[in-house]
Amino acid sequence: MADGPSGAKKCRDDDVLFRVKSKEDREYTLSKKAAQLSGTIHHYSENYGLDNDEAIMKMEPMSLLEVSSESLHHIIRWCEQHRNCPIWEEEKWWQNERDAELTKWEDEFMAEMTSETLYNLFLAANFLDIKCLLDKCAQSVADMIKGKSVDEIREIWMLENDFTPEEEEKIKNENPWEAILRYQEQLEKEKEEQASQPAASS
Amino acid sequence: MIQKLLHDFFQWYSKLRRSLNVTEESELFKPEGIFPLESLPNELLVKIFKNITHKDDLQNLCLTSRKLNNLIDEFVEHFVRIKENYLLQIEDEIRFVYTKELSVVSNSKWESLHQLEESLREFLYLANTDWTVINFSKKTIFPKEIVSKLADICRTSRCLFEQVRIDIWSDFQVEDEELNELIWAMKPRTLQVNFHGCSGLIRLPSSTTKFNGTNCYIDFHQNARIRGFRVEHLLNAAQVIEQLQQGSINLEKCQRFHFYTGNTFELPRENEWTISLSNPERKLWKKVNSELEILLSGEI
Repeated sequence: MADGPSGAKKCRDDDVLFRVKSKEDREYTLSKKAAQLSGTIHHYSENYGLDNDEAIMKMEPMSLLEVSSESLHHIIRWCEQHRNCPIWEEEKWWQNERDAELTKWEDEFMAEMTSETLYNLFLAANFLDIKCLLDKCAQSVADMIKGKSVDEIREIWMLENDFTPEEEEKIKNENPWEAILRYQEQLEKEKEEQASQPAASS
Repeated sequence: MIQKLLHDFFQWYSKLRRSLNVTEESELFKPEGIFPLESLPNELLVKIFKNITHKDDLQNLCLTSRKLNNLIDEFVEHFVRIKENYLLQIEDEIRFVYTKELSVVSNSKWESLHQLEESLREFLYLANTDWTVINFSKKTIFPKEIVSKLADICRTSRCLFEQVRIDIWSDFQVEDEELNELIWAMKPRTLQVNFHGCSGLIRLPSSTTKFNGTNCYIDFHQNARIRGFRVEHLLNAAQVIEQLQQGSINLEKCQRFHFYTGNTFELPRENEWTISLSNPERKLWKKVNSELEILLSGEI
């Protein structure tokens, strides 16, 4: 497997390492800081008393039965790269400027993914509750959809057209935002009415 | 069979495009292998939908398959339902408008702060592209708790507020400190503050001193009250310019700073401020112009 974008961070020699095991029973390690990006690992640590370095050093590997070795490899790369981002502590998220280098790294990271890898990574990020990776995966998939025609979307995502021609026609004439737009119009109308009231009274 | 052929063709076509170095912005990952979109759990599909903000894209996605269509329907309905809940509670005190397509109204009579927070969180999640508009409506004494709560949510929601517009209407009372907190929490790249017919002393939110984005617009709209409008704006213009001159507004990273009443005048930054009059025949605007020139030249 490729090491990924240049300058990818790796564990340091003095890092306390957290042990995890993929569904293929392959063991991996990641720094304690990187591991804490995962909500699932965070909760596991709390439940199993892994709240100090000594306990982590003595730990048995945490089994991640829903995560393949390939996905876990990518997840660890992501987490190591983001280990200094206080993403888990959401309060601090906005106190930090978004690092342009990190954004570039993320884009390169996503560009390496094949459709299949991305799919598995998306599920793995969900299982491990890594919010920043989940968001990035969702954004990447959405970006692939933007500006594409219906046929193109079907081709990319292997979607089968299971509509009847009548249903298809009906949906074409519907606007998914129609209800919202209607609501907005109602608000605008209220606003205009309110605005006209003082003038009328004067 | 046809699907498979189309898939193979697309893979070949994508490879060809890459080999010819033809890339497009949305070509973010390689289409090798299968990505069974429909088999993603619903919560992940909804996460994807939340990143699609153009209705045409959503419409196209609706047309691809029955499952996606039904899910998007539910997704849209969910947001409308939240808004309807708010409508039931309301006396139209505070109005939050999100992007061009979304809006929610709320007021001080919310059932619980927690409920408000949950809904705002969801709306803010959708508001991460395009303009985010926060409309401080009329007849409002803005409850401090709400603005603080909103600021709180902005801080923790990870929304990326590219462009934020804050509309402040007449008779609306907001403390500088509260507005500051909100703008600071949103950290927009572009900020626009519109004062609509505000009477009395209105102040440039001092949060602009912390504003770190690239664009800042402060507008005093033409649709302000006619009576006293110009005099007030002259006063406000003077105050803003004073702040600029005293360096209390941080424009270091600000590429553009526009300050204008209607279309009347505009002050670009970098000490090359120009004053252009769209209606030079108007005596009062001439007065504004000359007052500003005096201020800018430092004669007072």
